[in-house]
Amino acid sequence: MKLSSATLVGLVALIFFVVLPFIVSDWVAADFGIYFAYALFAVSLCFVWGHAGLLSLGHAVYFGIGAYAMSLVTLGMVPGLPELHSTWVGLAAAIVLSTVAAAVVGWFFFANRGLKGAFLGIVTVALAVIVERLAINSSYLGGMNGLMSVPPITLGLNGDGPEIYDPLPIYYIGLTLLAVAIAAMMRVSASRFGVSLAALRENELRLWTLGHDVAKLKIAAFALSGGLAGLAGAFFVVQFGFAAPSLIGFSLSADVLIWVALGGRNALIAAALGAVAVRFLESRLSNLMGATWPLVLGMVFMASVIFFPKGIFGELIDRLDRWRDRANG
Amino acid sequence: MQDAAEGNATSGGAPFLEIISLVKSFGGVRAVDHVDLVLDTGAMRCIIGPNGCGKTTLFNLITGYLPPSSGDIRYRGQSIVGRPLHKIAADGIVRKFQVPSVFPEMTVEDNIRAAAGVRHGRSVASPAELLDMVGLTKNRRHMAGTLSHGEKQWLELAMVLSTAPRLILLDEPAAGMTRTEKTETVRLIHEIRRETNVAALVIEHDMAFVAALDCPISVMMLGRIVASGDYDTVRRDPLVREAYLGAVNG
Repeated sequence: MKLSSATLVGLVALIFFVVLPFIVSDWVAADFGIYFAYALFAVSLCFVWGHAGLLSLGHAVYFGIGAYAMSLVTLGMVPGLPELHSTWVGLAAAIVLSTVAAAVVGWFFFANRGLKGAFLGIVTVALAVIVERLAINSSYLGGMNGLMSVPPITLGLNGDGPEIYDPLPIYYIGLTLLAVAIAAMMRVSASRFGVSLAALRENELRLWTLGHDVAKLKIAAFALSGGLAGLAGAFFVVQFGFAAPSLIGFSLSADVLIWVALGGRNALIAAALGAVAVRFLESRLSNLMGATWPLVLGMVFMASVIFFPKGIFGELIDRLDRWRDRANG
Repeated sequence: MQDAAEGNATSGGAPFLEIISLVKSFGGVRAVDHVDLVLDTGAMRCIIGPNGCGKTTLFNLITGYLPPSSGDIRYRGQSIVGRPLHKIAADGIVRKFQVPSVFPEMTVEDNIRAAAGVRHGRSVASPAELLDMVGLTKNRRHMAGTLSHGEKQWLELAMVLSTAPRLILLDEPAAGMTRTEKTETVRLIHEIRRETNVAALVIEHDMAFVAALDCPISVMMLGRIVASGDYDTVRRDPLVREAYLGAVNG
Protein backbone atom coordinates (compact mmCIF):
# COMPACT_ATOMS: atom_id res chain seq x y z
CA MET A 1 0.00 0.00 0.00
CA LYS A 2 1.34 3.42 -0.95
CA LEU A 3 1.35 5.83 1.98
CA SER A 4 0.32 9.42 1.33
CA SER A 5 2.95 12.11 1.76
CA ALA A 6 0.97 13.51 4.72
CA THR A 7 1.12 10.09 6.41
CA LEU A 8 4.86 9.84 5.74
CA VAL A 9 5.48 13.28 7.25
CA GLY A 10 3.26 12.27 10.17
CA LEU A 11 5.23 9.08 10.79
CA VAL A 12 8.56 10.91 10.66
CA ALA A 13 7.20 13.51 13.08
CA LEU A 14 5.90 10.76 15.37
CA ILE A 15 9.31 9.07 15.52
CA PHE A 16 10.93 12.44 16.18
CA PHE A 17 8.56 13.22 19.05
CA VAL A 18 8.85 9.73 20.54
CA VAL A 19 12.63 10.21 20.74
CA LEU A 20 12.62 13.90 21.73
CA PRO A 21 12.25 13.45 25.54
CA PHE A 22 15.49 11.44 25.54
CA ILE A 23 17.27 14.47 24.13
CA VAL A 24 15.69 17.40 25.95
CA SER A 25 15.10 18.11 29.64
CA ASP A 26 11.87 17.22 31.47
CA TRP A 27 11.14 20.93 31.64
CA VAL A 28 11.09 21.18 27.86
CA ALA A 29 9.06 17.95 27.63
CA ALA A 30 6.47 19.53 29.96
CA ASP A 31 6.16 22.44 27.53
CA PHE A 32 5.54 20.00 24.72
CA GLY A 33 2.64 18.42 26.65
CA ILE A 34 0.93 21.81 26.40
CA TYR A 35 1.93 22.18 22.75
CA PHE A 36 0.28 18.83 21.97
CA ALA A 37 -2.98 20.14 23.45
CA TYR A 38 -2.69 23.17 21.17
CA ALA A 39 -1.84 20.89 18.24
CA LEU A 40 -5.00 18.87 18.92
CA PHE A 41 -6.90 22.15 18.88
CA ALA A 42 -5.26 23.08 15.56
CA VAL A 43 -6.30 19.70 14.11
CA SER A 44 -9.91 20.42 15.05
CA LEU A 45 -9.84 23.79 13.25
CA CYS A 46 -7.98 22.32 10.28
CA PHE A 47 -10.72 19.71 9.84
CA VAL A 48 -13.53 22.22 9.73
CA TRP A 49 -11.67 24.98 7.88
CA GLY A 50 -9.10 23.22 5.72
CA HIS A 51 -11.06 20.11 4.91
CA ALA A 52 -14.69 21.29 4.92
CA GLY A 53 -14.01 24.93 3.99
CA LEU A 54 -15.92 26.42 6.93
CA LEU A 55 -13.96 29.34 8.35
CA SER A 56 -14.48 29.48 12.10
CA LEU A 57 -12.85 32.52 13.65
CA GLY A 58 -14.18 31.71 17.10
CA HIS A 59 -13.04 28.16 17.57
CA ALA A 60 -11.65 28.79 21.05
CA VAL A 61 -15.25 28.72 22.27
CA TYR A 62 -15.22 24.91 22.06
CA PHE A 63 -11.67 24.64 23.43
CA GLY A 64 -12.74 26.83 26.34
CA ILE A 65 -15.92 24.84 26.96
CA GLY A 66 -13.77 21.71 27.19
CA ALA A 67 -11.35 23.40 29.59
CA TYR A 68 -14.09 24.82 31.82
CA ALA A 69 -16.08 21.56 31.80
CA MET A 70 -13.05 19.56 32.91
CA SER A 71 -12.24 22.18 35.55
CA LEU A 72 -15.76 22.35 36.98
CA VAL A 73 -16.03 18.57 37.26
CA THR A 74 -12.60 17.91 38.76
CA LEU A 75 -12.96 20.85 41.18
CA GLY A 76 -16.27 19.40 42.43
CA MET A 77 -18.24 22.41 41.19
CA VAL A 78 -21.01 20.61 39.32
CA PRO A 79 -24.26 21.85 40.90
CA GLY A 80 -25.81 19.14 43.06
CA LEU A 81 -22.77 16.87 42.72
CA PRO A 82 -20.11 18.33 45.05
CA GLU A 83 -18.54 14.90 45.56
CA LEU A 84 -17.84 14.46 41.86
CA HIS A 85 -14.15 14.96 41.00
CA SER A 86 -13.59 12.38 38.26
CA THR A 87 -11.13 13.16 35.48
CA TRP A 88 -13.00 10.65 33.33
CA VAL A 89 -16.38 12.32 33.86
CA GLY A 90 -14.66 15.66 33.25
CA LEU A 91 -13.26 14.35 29.99
CA ALA A 92 -16.66 13.03 28.89
CA ALA A 93 -18.35 16.30 29.91
CA ALA A 94 -15.74 18.31 28.00
CA ILE A 95 -16.23 16.31 24.81
CA VAL A 96 -20.02 16.08 25.03
CA LEU A 97 -20.62 19.72 25.96
CA SER A 98 -18.27 21.10 23.31
CA THR A 99 -19.79 18.78 20.68
CA VAL A 100 -23.33 19.81 21.62
CA ALA A 101 -22.37 23.50 21.72
CA ALA A 102 -20.77 23.27 18.27
CA ALA A 103 -23.80 21.38 16.92
CA VAL A 104 -26.19 24.02 18.29
CA VAL A 105 -24.05 26.85 16.91
CA GLY A 106 -23.80 24.96 13.60
CA TRP A 107 -27.55 24.48 13.50
CA PHE A 108 -28.07 28.18 14.16
CA PHE A 109 -25.58 29.15 11.43
CA PHE A 110 -26.44 26.64 8.74
CA ALA A 111 -29.99 25.25 9.07
CA ASN A 112 -32.12 27.24 6.61
CA ARG A 113 -29.54 30.03 6.58
CA GLY A 114 -26.49 28.85 4.73
CA LEU A 115 -24.08 31.27 6.38
CA LYS A 116 -20.71 31.02 4.66
CA GLY A 117 -17.44 32.73 3.75
CA ALA A 118 -16.65 36.07 5.36
CA PHE A 119 -20.11 36.27 6.92
CA LEU A 120 -19.54 33.00 8.75
CA GLY A 121 -16.14 34.31 9.87
CA ILE A 122 -17.63 37.55 11.22
CA VAL A 123 -20.40 35.78 13.12
CA THR A 124 -17.98 33.29 14.66
CA VAL A 125 -15.73 36.15 15.81
CA ALA A 126 -18.74 37.79 17.43
CA LEU A 127 -19.60 34.50 19.11
CA ALA A 128 -16.12 34.22 20.63
CA VAL A 129 -16.25 37.79 21.93
CA ILE A 130 -19.71 37.25 23.44
CA VAL A 131 -18.78 33.96 25.10
CA GLU A 132 -15.57 35.47 26.50
CA ARG A 133 -17.60 38.35 27.99
CA LEU A 134 -20.06 35.87 29.48
CA ALA A 135 -17.18 33.95 31.08
CA ILE A 136 -15.68 37.15 32.49
CA ASN A 137 -19.04 38.16 33.98
CA SER A 138 -19.86 34.75 35.42
CA SER A 139 -19.00 34.45 39.11
CA TYR A 140 -19.64 30.70 38.87
CA LEU A 141 -16.81 30.44 36.32
CA GLY A 142 -14.54 32.58 38.48
CA GLY A 143 -14.99 35.78 36.47
CA MET A 144 -11.84 37.44 35.19
CA ASN A 145 -9.66 35.22 37.37
CA GLY A 146 -11.12 32.00 36.01
CA LEU A 147 -10.95 28.67 37.79
CA MET A 148 -7.68 28.00 39.57
CA SER A 149 -6.00 24.93 41.04
CA VAL A 150 -7.53 22.53 38.54
CA PRO A 151 -6.28 19.06 39.56
CA PRO A 152 -4.06 17.03 37.24
CA ILE A 153 -5.20 13.77 35.64
CA THR A 154 -6.18 11.23 38.28
CA LEU A 155 -6.57 7.63 37.27
CA GLY A 156 -9.23 6.66 39.84
CA LEU A 157 -12.90 6.73 38.97
CA ASN A 158 -13.69 9.76 41.12
CA GLY A 159 -10.61 11.88 41.49
CA ASP A 160 -8.86 9.31 43.66
CA GLY A 161 -5.96 7.04 42.73
CA PRO A 162 -2.61 8.05 41.30
CA GLU A 163 -2.19 11.52 39.87
CA ILE A 164 -0.29 12.10 36.67
CA TYR A 165 1.66 15.31 36.73
CA ASP A 166 5.16 14.22 35.83
CA PRO A 167 6.16 15.77 32.51
CA LEU A 168 7.14 12.54 30.78
CA PRO A 169 3.87 10.56 31.19
CA ILE A 170 1.91 13.71 30.28
CA TYR A 171 4.12 14.16 27.23
CA TYR A 172 3.44 10.64 25.97
CA ILE A 173 -0.29 10.81 26.79
CA GLY A 174 -0.42 14.04 24.75
CA LEU A 175 1.54 12.54 21.87
CA THR A 176 -0.68 9.44 21.85
CA LEU A 177 -3.85 11.55 21.96
CA LEU A 178 -2.58 13.68 19.11
CA ALA A 179 -1.44 10.76 16.95
CA VAL A 180 -4.69 8.86 17.48
CA ALA A 181 -6.79 11.98 16.82
CA ILE A 182 -4.92 12.77 13.60
CA ALA A 183 -5.15 9.15 12.40
CA ALA A 184 -8.87 9.04 13.26
CA MET A 185 -9.60 12.35 11.56
CA MET A 186 -7.63 11.23 8.49
CA ARG A 187 -9.87 8.15 8.36
CA VAL A 188 -12.94 10.35 8.70
CA SER A 189 -11.61 12.63 5.94
CA ALA A 190 -11.20 9.66 3.61
CA SER A 191 -14.65 8.22 4.42
CA ARG A 192 -17.71 8.97 2.30
CA PHE A 193 -18.73 11.61 4.86
CA GLY A 194 -15.26 13.15 4.67
CA VAL A 195 -15.22 13.12 0.88
CA SER A 196 -18.61 14.86 0.91
CA LEU A 197 -17.16 17.52 3.23
CA ALA A 198 -14.25 18.08 0.85
CA ALA A 199 -16.77 18.41 -1.97
CA LEU A 200 -18.64 20.95 0.15
CA ARG A 201 -15.47 23.02 0.31
CA GLU A 202 -14.96 22.72 -3.45
CA ASN A 203 -18.42 23.40 -4.82
CA GLU A 204 -21.32 23.66 -2.41
CA LEU A 205 -24.02 24.23 -5.04
CA ARG A 206 -22.93 21.16 -7.02
CA LEU A 207 -23.06 18.99 -3.91
CA TRP A 208 -26.43 20.40 -2.93
CA THR A 209 -27.93 19.79 -6.36
CA LEU A 210 -26.71 16.20 -6.24
CA GLY A 211 -29.07 15.62 -3.31
CA HIS A 212 -26.83 16.20 -0.29
CA ASP A 213 -28.28 18.02 2.70
CA VAL A 214 -25.38 20.47 2.97
CA ALA A 215 -26.70 22.03 6.18
CA LYS A 216 -26.59 18.65 7.94
CA LEU A 217 -23.08 18.03 6.63
CA LYS A 218 -21.88 21.39 7.93
CA ILE A 219 -23.50 20.89 11.33
CA ALA A 220 -21.93 17.42 11.61
CA ALA A 221 -18.50 18.81 10.65
CA PHE A 222 -18.84 21.62 13.20
CA ALA A 223 -19.94 19.20 15.94
CA LEU A 224 -17.10 16.77 15.28
CA SER A 225 -14.56 19.58 15.21
CA GLY A 226 -16.04 21.15 18.34
CA GLY A 227 -15.78 17.86 20.23
CA LEU A 228 -12.13 17.53 19.29
CA ALA A 229 -11.46 21.12 20.38
CA GLY A 230 -13.19 20.33 23.69
CA LEU A 231 -10.93 17.32 24.19
CA ALA A 232 -7.93 19.56 23.52
CA GLY A 233 -9.20 22.10 26.05
CA ALA A 234 -9.67 19.40 28.69
CA PHE A 235 -6.18 18.02 28.12
CA PHE A 236 -4.76 21.53 28.26
CA VAL A 237 -6.36 22.46 31.56
CA VAL A 238 -5.28 19.33 33.46
CA GLN A 239 -1.70 20.35 32.66
CA PHE A 240 -2.00 24.09 33.00
CA GLY A 241 -4.15 23.93 36.15
CA PHE A 242 -6.01 27.08 35.33
CA ALA A 243 -9.05 27.87 33.14
CA ALA A 244 -9.28 31.56 32.27
CA PRO A 245 -11.68 33.53 30.02
CA SER A 246 -8.83 34.02 27.54
CA LEU A 247 -9.10 30.30 26.70
CA ILE A 248 -12.61 30.77 25.36
CA GLY A 249 -12.26 34.05 23.48
CA PHE A 250 -11.08 35.81 20.40
CA SER A 251 -7.37 35.93 21.17
CA LEU A 252 -6.85 32.15 21.25
CA SER A 253 -9.22 31.81 18.26
CA ALA A 254 -6.90 34.10 16.30
CA ASP A 255 -3.82 32.23 17.55
CA VAL A 256 -5.09 28.85 16.37
CA LEU A 257 -5.98 30.33 13.00
CA ILE A 258 -2.36 31.50 12.62
CA TRP A 259 -0.97 28.09 13.66
CA VAL A 260 -3.16 26.32 11.12
CA ALA A 261 -2.44 28.82 8.35
CA LEU A 262 1.31 28.74 9.04
CA GLY A 263 1.45 24.97 9.32
CA GLY A 264 -0.91 24.30 6.44
CA ARG A 265 -4.65 23.79 6.38
CA ASN A 266 -4.60 21.22 3.59
CA ALA A 267 -3.30 18.46 5.88
CA LEU A 268 -4.16 17.76 9.51
CA ILE A 269 -0.56 16.84 10.34
CA ALA A 270 0.66 20.13 8.84
CA ALA A 271 -1.71 22.10 11.07
CA ALA A 272 -0.58 20.14 14.14
CA LEU A 273 3.10 20.73 13.34
CA GLY A 274 2.31 24.42 12.75
CA ALA A 275 0.88 24.73 16.26
CA VAL A 276 3.83 22.94 17.88
CA ALA A 277 6.40 24.90 15.86
CA VAL A 278 4.87 28.33 16.56
CA ARG A 279 4.42 27.65 20.27
CA PHE A 280 7.95 26.28 20.57
CA LEU A 281 9.47 29.26 18.74
CA GLU A 282 7.34 31.61 20.79
CA SER A 283 8.63 30.15 24.05
CA ARG A 284 12.20 30.46 22.85
CA LEU A 285 12.08 33.75 20.98
CA SER A 286 9.70 35.72 23.18
CA ASN A 287 12.35 35.70 25.91
CA LEU A 288 14.91 37.07 23.49
CA MET A 289 12.65 39.48 21.66
CA GLY A 290 10.23 40.51 24.35
CA ALA A 291 7.41 42.64 23.02
CA THR A 292 8.66 42.45 19.43
CA TRP A 293 7.81 38.71 19.17
CA PRO A 294 4.17 39.27 18.11
CA LEU A 295 5.49 41.63 15.44
CA VAL A 296 7.88 38.97 14.13
CA LEU A 297 5.12 36.33 14.23
CA GLY A 298 2.83 38.66 12.28
CA MET A 299 5.51 39.24 9.65
CA VAL A 300 6.23 35.52 9.35
CA PHE A 301 2.50 34.94 8.99
CA MET A 302 2.21 37.51 6.20
CA ALA A 303 5.29 36.14 4.43
CA SER A 304 3.88 32.63 4.70
CA VAL A 305 0.52 33.68 3.22
CA ILE A 306 2.36 35.30 0.29
CA PHE A 307 5.13 32.76 -0.35
CA PHE A 308 3.65 29.55 1.10
CA PRO A 309 -0.12 29.86 0.80
CA LYS A 310 -0.42 26.18 1.64
CA GLY A 311 1.51 26.74 4.86
CA ILE A 312 5.08 25.71 5.62
CA PHE A 313 4.44 22.03 6.35
CA GLY A 314 1.61 21.97 3.81
CA GLU A 315 4.09 23.14 1.17
CA LEU A 316 6.56 20.49 2.31
CA ILE A 317 3.91 17.78 1.92
CA ASP A 318 2.91 19.16 -1.46
CA ARG A 319 6.51 19.18 -2.71
CA LEU A 320 7.05 15.67 -1.39
CA ASP A 321 3.91 14.61 -3.28
CA ARG A 322 5.19 16.10 -6.53
CA TRP A 323 8.66 14.63 -6.05
CA ARG A 324 7.23 11.16 -5.42
CA ASP A 325 4.94 11.50 -8.45
CA ARG A 326 7.93 12.39 -10.63
CA ALA A 327 10.02 9.57 -9.13
CA ASN A 328 7.23 7.10 -9.93
CA GLY A 329 6.95 8.44 -13.46
CA MET B 1 -25.59 -2.14 -15.71
CA GLN B 2 -28.68 -2.05 -13.53
CA ASP B 3 -31.68 0.10 -14.31
CA ALA B 4 -31.22 3.44 -12.58
CA ALA B 5 -34.74 4.51 -13.51
CA GLU B 6 -36.45 1.58 -11.85
CA GLY B 7 -39.58 2.58 -9.97
CA ASN B 8 -40.36 5.31 -12.47
CA ALA B 9 -43.96 4.25 -12.84
CA THR B 10 -46.29 6.76 -11.26
CA SER B 11 -49.42 5.98 -9.37
CA GLY B 12 -52.85 6.62 -10.82
CA GLY B 13 -51.55 7.07 -14.36
CA ALA B 14 -50.24 10.59 -13.66
CA PRO B 15 -47.52 11.77 -16.05
CA PHE B 16 -43.92 11.25 -14.92
CA LEU B 17 -43.25 15.00 -15.12
CA GLU B 18 -45.97 17.55 -15.70
CA ILE B 19 -45.32 21.27 -15.82
CA ILE B 20 -48.55 23.23 -15.56
CA SER B 21 -48.83 26.88 -16.56
CA LEU B 22 -45.49 27.68 -14.94
CA VAL B 23 -44.57 31.34 -14.53
CA LYS B 24 -41.41 32.96 -13.19
CA SER B 25 -41.16 36.72 -13.09
CA PHE B 26 -38.12 38.81 -12.20
CA GLY B 27 -39.54 42.25 -11.48
CA GLY B 28 -41.47 43.15 -14.62
CA VAL B 29 -39.80 40.49 -16.78
CA ARG B 30 -41.46 37.11 -17.25
CA ALA B 31 -38.55 34.75 -17.81
CA VAL B 32 -40.90 31.76 -17.92
CA ASP B 33 -44.41 32.58 -19.10
CA HIS B 34 -47.14 29.97 -18.68
CA VAL B 35 -45.09 26.98 -19.77
CA ASP B 36 -46.83 23.63 -20.04
CA LEU B 37 -44.82 20.49 -20.64
CA VAL B 38 -45.30 16.76 -20.11
CA LEU B 39 -42.56 14.15 -20.07
CA ASP B 40 -43.21 10.42 -19.91
CA THR B 41 -41.18 7.89 -17.97
CA GLY B 42 -37.87 7.29 -19.69
CA ALA B 43 -38.57 9.89 -22.40
CA MET B 44 -36.18 12.54 -23.68
CA ARG B 45 -37.01 16.03 -24.92
CA CYS B 46 -34.79 18.82 -26.16
CA ILE B 47 -35.54 22.42 -25.32
CA ILE B 48 -34.10 24.93 -27.76
CA GLY B 49 -34.38 28.66 -28.06
CA PRO B 50 -32.29 31.82 -28.27
CA ASN B 51 -30.23 33.09 -25.35
CA GLY B 52 -32.36 34.61 -22.62
CA CYS B 53 -35.54 32.79 -23.68
CA GLY B 54 -35.97 31.15 -20.25
CA LYS B 55 -34.56 27.65 -20.79
CA THR B 56 -32.13 27.68 -17.87
CA THR B 57 -34.69 29.45 -15.67
CA LEU B 58 -37.06 26.56 -16.44
CA PHE B 59 -34.37 24.13 -15.21
CA ASN B 60 -33.86 26.29 -12.11
CA LEU B 61 -37.58 26.01 -11.38
CA ILE B 62 -37.78 22.25 -11.92
CA THR B 63 -34.78 21.59 -9.67
CA GLY B 64 -36.09 23.89 -6.93
CA TYR B 65 -33.25 26.39 -7.22
CA LEU B 66 -35.85 29.10 -7.82
CA PRO B 67 -39.47 29.16 -6.65
CA PRO B 68 -42.04 29.73 -9.41
CA SER B 69 -44.23 32.83 -9.33
CA SER B 70 -47.23 30.66 -10.18
CA GLY B 71 -48.11 27.33 -11.76
CA ASP B 72 -47.17 23.84 -10.69
CA ILE B 73 -44.53 21.17 -11.29
CA ARG B 74 -45.81 17.65 -10.69
CA TYR B 75 -43.31 14.81 -10.52
CA ARG B 76 -44.54 11.24 -10.29
CA GLY B 77 -48.00 12.48 -9.37
CA GLN B 78 -46.96 14.97 -6.66
CA SER B 79 -46.26 18.67 -6.66
CA ILE B 80 -42.60 19.42 -5.96
CA VAL B 81 -42.99 23.20 -5.76
CA GLY B 82 -41.54 24.49 -2.50
CA ARG B 83 -39.55 21.34 -1.77
CA PRO B 84 -35.91 21.90 -0.80
CA LEU B 85 -33.45 21.61 -3.65
CA HIS B 86 -31.56 18.66 -2.19
CA LYS B 87 -34.76 16.71 -1.58
CA ILE B 88 -35.83 17.14 -5.20
CA ALA B 89 -32.38 15.89 -6.27
CA ALA B 90 -32.49 13.02 -3.79
CA ASP B 91 -35.85 12.03 -5.22
CA GLY B 92 -34.25 11.61 -8.63
CA ILE B 93 -34.26 14.95 -10.51
CA VAL B 94 -30.59 15.77 -11.00
CA ARG B 95 -29.07 18.45 -13.13
CA LYS B 96 -25.88 18.92 -15.13
CA PHE B 97 -24.87 22.55 -15.27
CA GLN B 98 -23.95 24.44 -18.42
CA VAL B 99 -20.45 25.22 -17.16
CA PRO B 100 -18.95 21.91 -16.02
CA SER B 101 -19.49 21.82 -12.28
CA VAL B 102 -17.10 19.38 -10.66
CA PHE B 103 -14.91 19.32 -7.53
CA PRO B 104 -11.61 20.51 -9.05
CA GLU B 105 -9.20 19.79 -6.18
CA MET B 106 -10.46 16.23 -5.76
CA THR B 107 -9.61 13.15 -7.80
CA VAL B 108 -11.98 12.01 -10.51
CA GLU B 109 -12.72 8.93 -8.39
CA ASP B 110 -13.56 11.03 -5.32
CA ASN B 111 -15.80 13.27 -7.44
CA ILE B 112 -17.95 10.21 -8.13
CA ARG B 113 -17.76 9.05 -4.49
CA ALA B 114 -18.89 12.46 -3.23
CA ALA B 115 -21.68 12.62 -5.80
CA ALA B 116 -23.00 9.15 -5.06
CA GLY B 117 -23.93 9.82 -1.46
CA VAL B 118 -27.71 9.99 -1.80
CA ARG B 119 -29.68 7.37 -3.72
CA HIS B 120 -32.58 6.42 -1.48
CA GLY B 121 -32.19 2.75 -2.26
CA ARG B 122 -32.17 3.15 -6.04
CA SER B 123 -29.62 0.91 -7.69
CA VAL B 124 -26.92 2.29 -9.90
CA ALA B 125 -23.78 1.29 -11.73
CA SER B 126 -20.58 1.18 -9.69
CA PRO B 127 -18.21 4.18 -9.85
CA ALA B 128 -15.80 2.05 -11.90
CA GLU B 129 -18.56 1.22 -14.41
CA LEU B 130 -19.59 4.87 -14.63
CA LEU B 131 -16.02 6.02 -15.22
CA ASP B 132 -15.65 3.34 -17.85
CA MET B 133 -18.86 4.49 -19.51
CA VAL B 134 -17.65 8.09 -19.83
CA GLY B 135 -14.13 7.01 -20.79
CA LEU B 136 -12.36 8.42 -17.73
CA THR B 137 -11.02 5.22 -16.16
CA LYS B 138 -7.45 6.18 -17.04
CA ASN B 139 -7.94 9.57 -15.37
CA ARG B 140 -9.48 8.27 -12.16
CA ARG B 141 -6.55 9.34 -9.96
CA HIS B 142 -6.16 12.74 -11.64
CA MET B 143 -7.46 15.91 -10.08
CA ALA B 144 -10.74 16.86 -11.75
CA GLY B 145 -9.44 20.38 -12.28
CA THR B 146 -6.74 19.08 -14.63
CA LEU B 147 -9.22 17.46 -17.05
CA SER B 148 -10.03 19.02 -20.42
CA HIS B 149 -13.33 20.87 -20.80
CA GLY B 150 -14.98 17.94 -22.54
CA GLU B 151 -13.73 15.46 -19.95
CA LYS B 152 -15.14 17.65 -17.19
CA GLN B 153 -18.51 17.62 -18.94
CA TRP B 154 -18.40 13.80 -19.06
CA LEU B 155 -17.25 13.56 -15.46
CA GLU B 156 -20.18 15.70 -14.38
CA LEU B 157 -22.48 13.45 -16.38
CA ALA B 158 -21.06 10.42 -14.53
CA MET B 159 -21.52 12.27 -11.22
CA VAL B 160 -25.16 12.91 -12.07
CA LEU B 161 -25.66 9.26 -13.02
CA SER B 162 -24.02 8.07 -9.81
CA THR B 163 -27.02 9.43 -7.87
CA ALA B 164 -29.30 6.94 -9.68
CA PRO B 165 -31.48 9.70 -11.14
CA ARG B 166 -34.92 9.17 -12.61
CA LEU B 167 -34.75 12.41 -14.60
CA ILE B 168 -31.62 14.20 -15.75
CA LEU B 169 -31.61 17.83 -16.82
CA LEU B 170 -28.70 18.48 -19.17
CA ASP B 171 -27.97 22.17 -19.67
CA GLU B 172 -25.98 22.46 -22.90
CA PRO B 173 -24.06 19.19 -22.40
CA ALA B 174 -21.97 19.81 -25.53
CA ALA B 175 -21.13 23.47 -24.84
CA GLY B 176 -17.51 24.26 -25.64
CA MET B 177 -16.81 20.79 -27.03
CA THR B 178 -14.95 19.92 -30.21
CA ARG B 179 -16.86 18.18 -33.01
CA THR B 180 -15.38 14.81 -32.01
CA GLU B 181 -16.33 15.36 -28.38
CA LYS B 182 -19.86 16.29 -29.41
CA THR B 183 -20.20 13.08 -31.41
CA GLU B 184 -18.95 11.13 -28.42
CA THR B 185 -21.41 12.96 -26.14
CA VAL B 186 -24.34 12.05 -28.40
CA ARG B 187 -23.21 8.42 -28.31
CA LEU B 188 -22.88 8.64 -24.53
CA ILE B 189 -26.37 10.07 -24.02
CA HIS B 190 -27.88 7.34 -26.23
CA GLU B 191 -25.93 4.69 -24.30
CA ILE B 192 -27.03 6.11 -20.94
CA ARG B 193 -30.67 6.08 -21.97
CA ARG B 194 -30.40 2.58 -23.43
CA GLU B 195 -28.73 1.24 -20.28
CA THR B 196 -30.70 3.10 -17.60
CA ASN B 197 -34.00 4.21 -19.16
CA VAL B 198 -33.51 7.54 -17.37
CA ALA B 199 -35.74 10.37 -18.60
CA ALA B 200 -33.98 13.49 -19.88
CA LEU B 201 -34.58 17.12 -20.64
CA VAL B 202 -31.80 18.63 -22.72
CA ILE B 203 -31.11 22.30 -23.39
CA GLU B 204 -28.92 22.75 -26.44
CA HIS B 205 -28.07 25.36 -29.06
CA ASP B 206 -26.20 23.19 -31.53
CA MET B 207 -28.87 22.02 -33.99
CA ALA B 208 -26.69 19.23 -35.40
CA PHE B 209 -26.34 17.92 -31.85
CA VAL B 210 -30.10 18.22 -31.28
CA ALA B 211 -30.83 16.40 -34.55
CA ALA B 212 -28.45 13.60 -33.53
CA LEU B 213 -30.25 13.14 -30.22
CA ASP B 214 -33.33 12.26 -32.28
CA CYS B 215 -36.02 13.18 -29.76
CA PRO B 216 -39.03 15.54 -29.54
CA ILE B 217 -38.18 19.22 -29.33
CA SER B 218 -39.84 22.17 -27.62
CA VAL B 219 -38.89 25.65 -28.78
CA MET B 220 -38.89 28.49 -26.24
CA MET B 221 -39.05 32.16 -27.07
CA LEU B 222 -39.52 35.02 -24.62
CA GLY B 223 -40.36 32.57 -21.86
CA ARG B 224 -43.03 30.64 -23.79
CA ILE B 225 -43.03 27.36 -25.62
CA VAL B 226 -43.92 28.40 -29.15
CA ALA B 227 -43.51 25.14 -31.03
CA SER B 228 -43.12 21.46 -30.34
CA GLY B 229 -42.54 18.38 -32.44
CA ASP B 230 -39.79 16.33 -33.99
CA TYR B 231 -36.72 17.93 -35.54
CA ASP B 232 -38.17 18.24 -39.06
CA THR B 233 -41.49 19.67 -37.84
CA VAL B 234 -39.77 22.24 -35.66
CA ARG B 235 -37.32 23.09 -38.41
CA ARG B 236 -40.19 23.83 -40.83
CA ASP B 237 -42.05 26.08 -38.37
CA PRO B 238 -41.88 29.60 -39.87
CA LEU B 239 -41.75 31.32 -36.50
CA VAL B 240 -38.90 29.11 -35.39
CA ARG B 241 -37.02 29.60 -38.66
CA GLU B 242 -37.32 33.34 -38.40
CA ALA B 243 -36.54 33.68 -34.72
CA TYR B 244 -34.01 30.99 -34.08
CA LEU B 245 -33.06 28.42 -36.68
CA GLY B 246 -32.93 31.00 -39.41
CA ALA B 247 -30.54 33.07 -37.40
CA VAL B 248 -28.40 30.07 -36.52
CA ASN B 249 -28.36 28.26 -39.82
CA GLY B 250 -28.47 31.26 -42.08
